[in-house]
Amino acid sequence: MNRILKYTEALNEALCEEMDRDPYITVFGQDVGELGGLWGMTKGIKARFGQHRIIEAPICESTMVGMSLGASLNGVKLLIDIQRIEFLLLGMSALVNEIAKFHYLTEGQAYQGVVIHSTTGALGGSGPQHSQSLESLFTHIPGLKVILPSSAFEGKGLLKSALRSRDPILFFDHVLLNFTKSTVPLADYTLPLTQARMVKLGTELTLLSNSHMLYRIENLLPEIARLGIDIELIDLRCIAPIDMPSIVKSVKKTGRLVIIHDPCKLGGYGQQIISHLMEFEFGALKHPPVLLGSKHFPIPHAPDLQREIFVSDKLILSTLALLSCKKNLKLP
Amino acid sequence: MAGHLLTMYKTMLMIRRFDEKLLDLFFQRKMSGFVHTSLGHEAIAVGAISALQSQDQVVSYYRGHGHCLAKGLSPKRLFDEILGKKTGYSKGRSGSVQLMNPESGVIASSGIVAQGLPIAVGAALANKMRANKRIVVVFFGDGATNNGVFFESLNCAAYLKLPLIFVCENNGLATSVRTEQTMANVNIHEKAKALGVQSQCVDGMDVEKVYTTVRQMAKKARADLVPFFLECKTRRLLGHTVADRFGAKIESKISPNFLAERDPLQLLKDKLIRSKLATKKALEKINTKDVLMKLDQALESSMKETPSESSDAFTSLFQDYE
Repeated sequence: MNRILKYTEALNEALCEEMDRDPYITVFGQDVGELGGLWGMTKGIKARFGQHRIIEAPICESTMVGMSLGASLNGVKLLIDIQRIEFLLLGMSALVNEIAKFHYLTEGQAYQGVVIHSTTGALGGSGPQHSQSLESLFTHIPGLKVILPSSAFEGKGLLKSALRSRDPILFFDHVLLNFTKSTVPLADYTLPLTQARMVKLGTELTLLSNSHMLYRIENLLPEIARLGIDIELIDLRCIAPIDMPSIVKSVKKTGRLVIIHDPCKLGGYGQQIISHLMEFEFGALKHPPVLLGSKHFPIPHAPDLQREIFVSDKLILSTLALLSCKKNLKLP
Repeated sequence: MAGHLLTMYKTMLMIRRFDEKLLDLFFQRKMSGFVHTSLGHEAIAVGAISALQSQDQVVSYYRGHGHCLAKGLSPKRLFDEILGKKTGYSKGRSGSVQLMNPESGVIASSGIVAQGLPIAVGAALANKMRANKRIVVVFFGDGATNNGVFFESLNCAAYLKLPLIFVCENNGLATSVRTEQTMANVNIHEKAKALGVQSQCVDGMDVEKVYTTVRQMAKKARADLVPFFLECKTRRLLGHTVADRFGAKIESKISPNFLAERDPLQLLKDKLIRSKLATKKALEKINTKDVLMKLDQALESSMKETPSESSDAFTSLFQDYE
């Protein structure tokens, strides 16, 4: 049986099911108890599981992140809830210096993985410190898995997998996903964390995206179809490690690649993918790969200024239109 | 108590000689990298860890050889790790700075100042949730108490009421800088009090004092689920690391008088002889037979171990592969 669930309802359901399954999963974050989390992910959990399973954390991100490692060593999985990705920067040392390397140094003697949940992206008008998509930063560090769901269905399945994983998982919701809904089965299901998802098969162009950007592209599919180019749409739900085999397979078929992501292009995973293809699969490309991302600038508050920073629907469509014309050009 | 003091003496001496062996290896260029020796800190590691039960856990830091030896890790495998052997506790991936072995109770160690504290807090929270009666002891230096996570961690341990003992090894120096150069209130235990953690300050050169204090704290932490803070005043006898150019300067400041009056090993030796718990000859036998001979054997067999293979560099990044 399927229902339509809001994104946060799906996460809430995933969390409840996993907390039922494993009595040692505990939520640790700000406003997670009475308030139920900023966007409602932990709504009702305190009443259902009791206050020892959902702990209000002081605003001390460095310590919260470090604590998740210590707890995992003694068989407790703390789901660390950090309200925005900017605040997670305070936990960088614990993430980069401790957590990412811990299994490498101890080979799973006790370590049972950690899950850090946070929110990325711009809501609109939130200014330079509350609008960033900083997920690319974390892809530079070996030993972290970075997950970006694109719908309620994906969110539920991926969060359940994250809570069962023995690796360090960074689980980032784009803030605008909180306003989306999708069909979610009632049956228990998990999704593979590190595999890219084939959204739509196609033959002429590989379009790679994720998170809320993928949701936007899915809504643009009727308009894209009118451009006369048969796209293959892939959801890169995990940006570290990158599922390169799935991408290569698709590009070998289509010969064209467009990547559209929310973070800025500079030093991001889109560039990493293109670099890999240029180095190792150059012969498969019929056209130079195209990358769309935010401008490499702070994100201003005023709507007219903010609009300048992000990839617009218009830019997405005009880029694809250009490529759909070029596909028929016979190069000398 | 007599046998107990002798055991502690043996372990302290083991730590001292272990670090001296490493100094030799370093200056003979027989090891790569550098080490932070715990010469002068031995009474704290041994006093505190001897006061624990075997299932209790330790979070160490970069000056951590002493904690590992006191917790019962094998000197041979510690040498293996530092010398980059496959048989090392981390297959030679960690080296001296993050010596740990969760299975043996040294559950974590950090080379980043103060960053072991949050790990210890998380470990103690999990122990409390599992009601397993274990306590955690976390060691760190005086420099760590200026770091943000120090205050955060003490606050968390206090409001969450965790069975955890914070042990500050206050040697008065952060690398080359004296404590009072970067701290207005040098009474570090007062910081803990302000955060709601019961605290004490003891002479970190007196192993018996450290032992009895930690034993009391451990008993209460275990029974009442509360954290404690112990400041141990000590002095490191060498530089921050073996490679440290300030080392020589600090060594030159350690006078023979200081060593005679304050060296934790000398203090315990004097006490054992004075109270007729051991003869000078018996103590010398401990040095040569129980400690040096064992260490020589450990080092010799460590030298013969195969170095880590190049393929060991590229395994164990993740546990789950899909």
